[in-house]
Amino acid sequence: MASETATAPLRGNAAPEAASIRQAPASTELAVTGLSKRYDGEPQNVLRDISFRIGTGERVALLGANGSGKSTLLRCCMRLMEPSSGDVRLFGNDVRQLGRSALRGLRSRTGVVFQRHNLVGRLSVLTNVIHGALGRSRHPGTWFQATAAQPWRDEAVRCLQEVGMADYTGQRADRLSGGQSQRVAIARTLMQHPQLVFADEPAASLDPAAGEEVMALFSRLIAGHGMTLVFSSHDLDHARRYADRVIALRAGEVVIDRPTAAVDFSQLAGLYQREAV
Amino acid sequence: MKDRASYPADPPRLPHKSVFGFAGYLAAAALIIWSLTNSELSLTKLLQGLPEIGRLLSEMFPPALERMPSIGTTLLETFQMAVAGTFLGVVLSLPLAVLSARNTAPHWTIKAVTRAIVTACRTVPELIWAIIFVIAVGLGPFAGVLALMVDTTGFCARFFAEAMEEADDGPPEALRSLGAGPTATVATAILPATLPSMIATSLFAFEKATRASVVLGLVGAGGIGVELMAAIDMYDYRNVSTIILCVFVMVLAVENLSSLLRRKIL
Repeated sequence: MASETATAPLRGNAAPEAASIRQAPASTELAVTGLSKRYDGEPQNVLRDISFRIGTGERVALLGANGSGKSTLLRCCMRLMEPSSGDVRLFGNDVRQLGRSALRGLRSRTGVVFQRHNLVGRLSVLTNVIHGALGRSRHPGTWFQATAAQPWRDEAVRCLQEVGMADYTGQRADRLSGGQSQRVAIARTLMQHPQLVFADEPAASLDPAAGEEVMALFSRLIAGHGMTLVFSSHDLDHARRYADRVIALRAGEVVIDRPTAAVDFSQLAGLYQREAV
Repeated sequence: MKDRASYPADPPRLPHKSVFGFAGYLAAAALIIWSLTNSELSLTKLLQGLPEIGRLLSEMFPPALERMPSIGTTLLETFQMAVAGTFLGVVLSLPLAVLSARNTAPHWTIKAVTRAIVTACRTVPELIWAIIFVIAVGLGPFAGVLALMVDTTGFCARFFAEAMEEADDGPPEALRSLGAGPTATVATAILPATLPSMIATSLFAFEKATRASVVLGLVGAGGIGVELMAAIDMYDYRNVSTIILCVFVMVLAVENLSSLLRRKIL
């Protein structure tokens, strides 16, 4: 892989706290046990006693209707949101027990692709991709493309090439279409060199054609870079084609957790049936 | 078609107010009436004073041009005070805003202390700051610049912080999720998003400082206000009108320039 070779010297700039994080056994990257979450002021739990383990190289689709708890679950796994109870272990580390520095180090190994892309709109595409290295480099030079060292710039351009956006380096991110923005967000994730990638409905804000392109590209890159993938989606077809395991949520509970080949997709439509109002 | 009775009840045209809400309206009305009645408002006095205003205006015209070189020099000094005070105030406002905004403050105690400092800067009028700094550093433009700096800090830090709090939380969350530290997140996601708002606020602060810098000279803090005070003390109303006209042109030019820059930059 070209980017691996080119960035090898830069890995030495990884944050000191990243080195202090315990390396997990290769088999399990994410282990969730008895996870529950209740928002302040809400009468019921959004997540109820969720448990599962995800191994290296797995591609997991998280299915469920709006409000079933998919996004909350992904956020709790990254501790972008505090769980109410339960245990989340990322690469063998209990994320709820980590201090700020250690948590940042752990997050630098875990990519997130958001439904709304979450690029910094007023900055260039190249700067947005270089931001993917912020977890690896604490040097302020990586804040903006104009001040970034040449190897960072070169690597960012290579990441943009991988997603077919190398011609847009100088473009402001808020001038891109939805599909282009999501490609840049994926390039930012590649720049991060994560072992595990969470994607929260990565194609949901795109039209069907663009969503299909993005998912195909995303899946190919994830496989090519040997990453583990957990993505949430409403699209059963995406789950069937891009995941080798399906976890389905209903009202905050896991109702299905099995290999994609063993899932009867015609029955999954029931996940999206609403109770009569 | 459904008959009318099957629809929910017709919603009220005005929102329902609680007893406390209604009492709030009454208290506000009472405050306004109380303030108006205790301000010695008098139409008779105003009408009786009109001839005096006319007399003063007649003494002010035609404006005197003899002291134009001196007025021009102090006007330039006033402008420089406004630029320097605004610049220093904006620079000081940035860290204070980061420390006092809800989504960027490192700790609630730091946020509370910083907000108190910013409020103190804002609540004390610039003229009082000028008196304080004249006592501290002596007469002259330095005291004026310090007064404008503090006043600009109180103004800008508050609005910068509000802009940061209103910024979309998506990009900062994305950067936090990939392991970026708090400083990097503020610098790379929050500040770029709030830059247009901060530029607009800074330009408004500059307009405000330009107007304020005229008055600061009245207490010896440099600028055209010193000339204005001297002319008033000597009943030299033709010079007073010259100074007022010059200030008017300067403030108008600054406001137009500021509007132009806002349109260009934003």
